[in-house]
Amino acid sequence: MNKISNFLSKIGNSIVNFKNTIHSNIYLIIGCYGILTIVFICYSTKWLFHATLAPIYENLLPPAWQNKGDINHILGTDEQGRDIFNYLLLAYKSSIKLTLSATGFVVIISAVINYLLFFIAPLRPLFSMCFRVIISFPPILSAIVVALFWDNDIDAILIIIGLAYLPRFVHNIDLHIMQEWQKTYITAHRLDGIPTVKIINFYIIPNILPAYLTEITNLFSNIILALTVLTFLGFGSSNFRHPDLGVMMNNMLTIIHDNYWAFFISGIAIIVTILLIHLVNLGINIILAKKGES
Amino acid sequence: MLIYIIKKLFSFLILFFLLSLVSVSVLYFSPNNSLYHLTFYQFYYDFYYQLLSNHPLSLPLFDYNMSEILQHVFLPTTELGLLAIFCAIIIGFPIGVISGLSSNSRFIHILRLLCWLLYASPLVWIAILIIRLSTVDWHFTQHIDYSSTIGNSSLITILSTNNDHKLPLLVNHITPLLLPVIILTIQPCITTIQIVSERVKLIANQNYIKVAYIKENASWKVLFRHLLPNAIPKIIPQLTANITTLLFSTMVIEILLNRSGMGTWLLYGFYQHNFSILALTLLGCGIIISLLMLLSEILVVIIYPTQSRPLHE
Repeated sequence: MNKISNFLSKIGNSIVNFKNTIHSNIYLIIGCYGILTIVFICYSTKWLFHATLAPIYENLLPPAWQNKGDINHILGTDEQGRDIFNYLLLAYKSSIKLTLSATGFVVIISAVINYLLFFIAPLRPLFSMCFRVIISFPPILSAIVVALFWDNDIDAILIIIGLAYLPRFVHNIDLHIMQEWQKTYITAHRLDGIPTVKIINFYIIPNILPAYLTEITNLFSNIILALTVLTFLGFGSSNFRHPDLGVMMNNMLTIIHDNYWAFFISGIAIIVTILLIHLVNLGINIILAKKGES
Repeated sequence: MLIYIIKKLFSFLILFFLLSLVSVSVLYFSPNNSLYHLTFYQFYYDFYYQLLSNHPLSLPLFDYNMSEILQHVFLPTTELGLLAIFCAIIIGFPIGVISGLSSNSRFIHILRLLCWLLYASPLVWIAILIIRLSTVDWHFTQHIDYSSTIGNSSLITILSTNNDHKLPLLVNHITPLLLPVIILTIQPCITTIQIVSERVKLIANQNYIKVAYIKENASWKVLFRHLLPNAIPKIIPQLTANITTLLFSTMVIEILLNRSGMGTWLLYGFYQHNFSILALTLLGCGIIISLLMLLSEILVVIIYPTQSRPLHE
């Protein structure tokens, strides 16, 4: 009984600490609550908004605030009678899911490569040359090669985008690690005989965490932007269960003269998402900097 | 320094060889390759012999000759990209320096917010927004017919001709380039501002710069004699790392605006399943990007030999 109450009080304390951390600066407050809203929207498309892409409504309705607009269709409907707000919710959810999976893929692969580069120095020139070849091809070119040889598949496009941004990410993280490795306190730890694995895991990584988070934030932004452009151009369209924001932009181009909100709202969704993630990153960096100072 | 340059040249040659292998492999292993009976070496040799000599051998490769491809495909894209880089540096560099040296936090916050807003905008979205604002009559054609794209001559051609009416020709040439250049300048400009401002701020806080402020009479002397020469060697490689993104954006803008160039040519090749176009674009992109990177690396060392000593030692 005592153990349970201890455990519950620990959970309570950590929740209070987390809440205090979130409320410690304005960037984190806006960013965290914004991201919580995004997560809520993504998980409530079915049960709260009942969003479907079935063309069951009247065609080409304008947004609700315009003449002839219907309050049940806030952003109006498209040429096929699909509700644009529902379309936005589903496309947004799909975009976030795809971007997160590509970002995760790059972060994991880069972690492995960074470890390899750190511990096996002769691999550096080999990886450097491979990365130079990869960054010589813009993602659209790689996407076309893959689409012609393999399939115009969204998973392939995600891999292409991931690979396009992998070299830069690995290089930047490697740069931060090597800069930290050359600092005096690390040399002191090495002279104390602390194993290299321990130094990198317990001293270097925590100290480069702000830079690491910034890199991940930039990676996320780059991936969602590249994904939107490529899907807008029609790549990865062969196995779409739900269209993403790029596909939505492409579809809404046909009605841009009748209802420009249908097109521009998808871009605004991306801008807001990226800004919120950058705000969270900025807030976390401020907290970590304060901790470092103290 | 010389050893550093030789090393860079040597690694460029290896890279060039790898790129040539990749581009030939795309053609050799393509599903509609009718010359699969040739060995890879023979195919590789024939491809480059035909490419460089313009003599058709066994490969039914190209509808155009090499000079036409260079003039109508690679040159417009390179020109557009270079103009965007030029505009981005002209606008972004001074703003970056000012924001790096500025102690006005409100200015920095507004600039940062503006940069974030523009940086977060998807390229196609912002391009269409600008097109709508500029009231250009435009509609997007997804399945491009390359023969119907807007063709253009290049700045180099106009400047090299002995025509008395160069100025009107230049104006005629630059006017349609304005819209794509404006759209393309946004992202590199933001990157330039961010990189320059960060670097200038870092260098400005160094002790030797503080000493220089005491020794020199004017602050512009500190800026041009000490601050910028120490900041630029690290800025240039960081900027050139974004060339791939710029080339990607240039191709997308060409597709959106249906302009003659690598983007439309590539998409045309994709819809026609023309692997020769794909192979040539792979090679072209690879050469453009790696050459610009090599040039930037060598230029930094040549212009600022003292400041870039950590690079080549």
